[in-house]
Amino acid sequence: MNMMKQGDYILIFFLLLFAGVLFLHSMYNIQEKGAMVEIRLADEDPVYVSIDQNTTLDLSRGDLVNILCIEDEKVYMLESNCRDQLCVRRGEISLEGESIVCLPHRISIVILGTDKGDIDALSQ
Amino acid sequence: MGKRIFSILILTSFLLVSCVDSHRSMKEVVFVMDTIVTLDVRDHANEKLLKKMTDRLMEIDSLMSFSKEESDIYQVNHAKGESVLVDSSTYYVVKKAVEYTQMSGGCFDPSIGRLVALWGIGSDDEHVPSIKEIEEVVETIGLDKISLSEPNSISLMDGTMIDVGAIAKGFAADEMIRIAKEAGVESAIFNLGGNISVLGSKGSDSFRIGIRNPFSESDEYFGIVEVTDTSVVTSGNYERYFIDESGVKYHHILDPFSGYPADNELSGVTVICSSSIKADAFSTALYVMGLEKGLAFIEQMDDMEAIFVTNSRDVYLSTGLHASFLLCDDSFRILK
Repeated sequence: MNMMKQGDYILIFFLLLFAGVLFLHSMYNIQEKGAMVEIRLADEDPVYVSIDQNTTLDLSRGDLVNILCIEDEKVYMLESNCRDQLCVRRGEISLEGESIVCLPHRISIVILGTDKGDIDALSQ
Repeated sequence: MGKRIFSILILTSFLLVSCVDSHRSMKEVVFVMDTIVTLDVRDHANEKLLKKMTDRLMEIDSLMSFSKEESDIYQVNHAKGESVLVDSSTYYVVKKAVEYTQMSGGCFDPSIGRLVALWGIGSDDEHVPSIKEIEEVVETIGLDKISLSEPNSISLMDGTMIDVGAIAKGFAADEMIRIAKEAGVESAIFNLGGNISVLGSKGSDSFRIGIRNPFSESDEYFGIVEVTDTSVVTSGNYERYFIDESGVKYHHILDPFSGYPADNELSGVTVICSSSIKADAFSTALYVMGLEKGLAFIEQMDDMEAIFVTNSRDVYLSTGLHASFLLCDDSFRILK
């Protein structure tokens, strides 16, 4: 009969611990990110910017002008040359799940992870 | 003995890892069907599933777009009265549209394609047409101008055009739910440009869906509905509109009878129904009906609930909603 060595037990312990942590992590969907601003330009992969840094981002591509501002943990579209100007008129957003969308220029800005939002989605 | 323990441990690890997979959540944002779509799959998510969903959205868009020349709808609209063989999904959507037109007494009608094109609301060419133009185009509207023949053939009276833009998003939302269910997903929320569909619940809680404040420029909501396994669709006069030189606002919900934007006491109508395509059709239909007719209509429907908001911020709820609606803006009041 093969007896397991102490090293085997340690290995098995860590394997189980690793699997357990993975399991719990996904169970509770642990979010380690702080409040972030997710910026998507058309079908490109999103980029993330921390909401607590004051900055102005030029999202313009070719003739499509969009200037986004992050200021005092609030986000707003400062300027756009889109036809409907809905993104500029949207004003400031600061809560999780709030978004600014510029459909004509295919830009979406969403706030993630502040955990202040009260709803899961907005019907409009 | 050691071997046995080792095998058990390995098996346990695999089981735990497979549990991890079944609890995996993923979110995807895509620009499709002239809007922004968020797919939020809260369990059993993987790249393949999300890809299947986005591919299906693109497919529905390419079949049912009013403006894309390769779409079924474009082909039907430009067939000069000839019968066109379409994809079974397109046929299903048009058939449903016809059914909802009958149910709503024509307040929702897919044959308003030429009217939508004439106004051009939301396009570069939005303008108020002349009375003569509107009268001519209203003549092309009506169910008698559409013929469906099984399987999958559609013909229109020459001059009539159909636009399923008002319900294609609802159909797409239903398809997202179907695909998610088939993959074993138990909890998901899909947002197709403000048209929301939820699968299951959030653990022991319901999903909380905000209802847009029609008087706000931003995404504020005046109330919340708590829902599981259903769809929440809102139509309002704030969505797409233009204002002419004299300051009159023209919104995109066109009345098939008058040919003008529906002009009544309503600012917005929300429909809650397990079928999103139906919710989509009836949010438009109830808006066109107006408050009184709309309320009477919805009370006769077993599978739909509705929220009406008037221009004076009065909120009317269908009977089944009183328990699940939460008003969260004091400037509104619930009258029923």
